[in-house]
Amino acid sequence: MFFLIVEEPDPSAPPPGSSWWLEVDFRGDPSGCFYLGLSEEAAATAAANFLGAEPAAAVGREDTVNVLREMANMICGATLSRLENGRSFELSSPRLLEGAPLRQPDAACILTLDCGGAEAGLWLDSSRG
Amino acid sequence: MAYRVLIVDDSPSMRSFIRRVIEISGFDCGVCLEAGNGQEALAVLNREWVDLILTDINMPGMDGAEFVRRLEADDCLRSIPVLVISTDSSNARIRHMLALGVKGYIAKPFTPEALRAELERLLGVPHV
Amino acid sequence: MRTIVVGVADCAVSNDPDAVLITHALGSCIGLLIHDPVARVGGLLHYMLPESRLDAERALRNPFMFADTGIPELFRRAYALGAVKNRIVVRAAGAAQVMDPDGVFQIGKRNSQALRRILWKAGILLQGEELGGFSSRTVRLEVGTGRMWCRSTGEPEREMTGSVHLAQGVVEWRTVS
Repeated sequence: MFFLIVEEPDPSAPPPGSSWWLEVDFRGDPSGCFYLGLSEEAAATAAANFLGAEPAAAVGREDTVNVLREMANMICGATLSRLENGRSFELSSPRLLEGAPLRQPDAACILTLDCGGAEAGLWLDSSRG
Repeated sequence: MAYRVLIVDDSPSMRSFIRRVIEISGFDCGVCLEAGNGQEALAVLNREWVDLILTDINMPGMDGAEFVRRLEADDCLRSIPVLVISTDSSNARIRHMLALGVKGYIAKPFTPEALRAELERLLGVPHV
Repeated sequence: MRTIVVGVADCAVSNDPDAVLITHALGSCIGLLIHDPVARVGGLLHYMLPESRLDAERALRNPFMFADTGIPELFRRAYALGAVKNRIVVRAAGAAQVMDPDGVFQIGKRNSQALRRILWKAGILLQGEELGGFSSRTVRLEVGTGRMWCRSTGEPEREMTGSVHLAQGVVEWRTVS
């Protein structure tokens, strides 16, 4: 739906210098919080692709925020659905953050996309504070 | 035939995506109504009839499961087919929604062709 | 029947009811087949790479090498022969992972993503696809009838019909246990 290619993961890759940060709370077994960061290029491309817009510069900030919130919702939901516990989760509405999360995540990964980069991670409730 | 469709999702961009798929699929969608959650959707249905409802599950206020329960409890509204579009593709959730009476389930992310295939199954193939 | 062979990085459009458009060796490349059943106009594009921005000069010499230049040109040529956008049936085959056993370059996947992105932005949906896998393919289109066929290496030829392979996302909920 976003038409982005995720490149082969490189463990030594530096953070992509994300400009956009989103957070989603999830309740279930386990509970916690998921975050997603995207570079300016990745965010603009994802938004334009999702909305079928051309060129990328035509998508306004409000539409970009809405698309990225949906992206965070989908990645979080799809990730949780792959847990083998077979349980359902409840997700909060994704929040746009002012900056990068300050806490060290319990799990994180850096994604190199065919346009810019992204990073994602999560905290589990037992470790949040 | 001009179809009337109700899209229920708290994400404006998701509603926009679904609306676009309906339009370019060739369906004569005379009316495409939208709501941000189950409560808003019931308010819409209080004054408008639709041929198909597409609903998310995780929404603030009334979620999709409760919304479908309310539809099934209504003698008129229970006849409207419901297609779920959700990030939750766990067996538990799918079983639950089936038991509530939904007619289809699409897991996000999905291709536009997947949504069109379900629309054709529920509404029939559109004539060009 | 008059056979028109479409080569690699090539395209053909015809309104001759006796013409059959065919292309071979669709490995990581994509064969895009289009047909307007009312105007009886058919087209076939065989492209190799997703984006022309890395080699704009080559794209000027041969737009059919790339998805982002070849697909618009395919449709333009079909419109010039009387095809109408909302009548056109679109199917695709190819995007296999060949000669790249570890999937390092992902050219097939990139070609597939480019196709889906370009069609989505143009407001067009596929009505049949044979994408991915590991085998090379041949496709052909009968301009007079609009019928399309695909054959993978080592398998019998089969007609590409209106039903799309179970597209990503649809839950076969009837079989959920």
